Amino acid sequence: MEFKTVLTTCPYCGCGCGLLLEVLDGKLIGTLPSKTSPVNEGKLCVKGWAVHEFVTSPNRLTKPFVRKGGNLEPSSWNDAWISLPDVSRRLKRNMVRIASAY
Amino acid sequence: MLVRGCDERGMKELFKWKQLKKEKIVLIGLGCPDELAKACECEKPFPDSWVDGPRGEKAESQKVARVNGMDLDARFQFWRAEFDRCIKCLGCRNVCPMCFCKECTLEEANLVDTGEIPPANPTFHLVRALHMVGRCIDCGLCEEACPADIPLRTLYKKVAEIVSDEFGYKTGFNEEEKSPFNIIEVKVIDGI
Repeated sequence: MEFKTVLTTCPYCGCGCGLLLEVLDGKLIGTLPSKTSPVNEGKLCVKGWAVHEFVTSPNRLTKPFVRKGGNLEPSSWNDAWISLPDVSRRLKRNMVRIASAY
Repeated sequence: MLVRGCDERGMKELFKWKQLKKEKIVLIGLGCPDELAKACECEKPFPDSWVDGPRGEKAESQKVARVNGMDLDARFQFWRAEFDRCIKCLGCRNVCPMCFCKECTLEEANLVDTGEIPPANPTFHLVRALHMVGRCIDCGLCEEACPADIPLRTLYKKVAEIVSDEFGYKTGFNEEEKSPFNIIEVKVIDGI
């Protein structure tokens, strides 16, 4: 049995709370707040306490999806990448509009 | 394993509740200084397996005495105001060394409403307090982890005081002694 903790930063909001991920035999099993972090001083919010859960969540997206005819369909990275220029062109137009508003 | 008084109490309870195998662990006790014992208001700031370090004096809980000194109305208002700050992060439960249940009442949707902050006041906290009977070893981790600074340690110290008065049971002190949960008998009443 091998247990270790990995000091890292919470991935949620901009506060950047320090936390320790608990790893038992290579499996992520828990989160602990870091007491030495000046940001959270040994405390966490509900999202911080649960960061270890989403990594292994069955609901987590592990492959790209592309919207086809209104539905999100699983796709390969290659196909998803090919469909990108269209999106980025639209984004660029919108960005120009936003930029001109300033 | 290096243990202070509170750590040792936790270990003893975990042995008792069959969460750890005693024969696999060697306890090496370290005592806490008076200053720390006072800050924790610790009843036994040194372990039985004491090897080294200071042996702090037992400190009475002034925080519990202060709450005991309030009349019932004021006491209720005090706790209501404290519990109102709860953001239901469940940090108190997550960090608790004695919370090893696979299913937790606090996450039982039939008993505790979801998507509501603060959680049912005062039931949510009193449910947890009740579950601390014979469990809480007064390590203070819950209060340290609480982002809303709710004086949970005071609450659970009060629970321990009641358990001690009513059942003569001090959690984590005696490894052979059974928890009050085990001595409560379920009796079948005739005709029901």
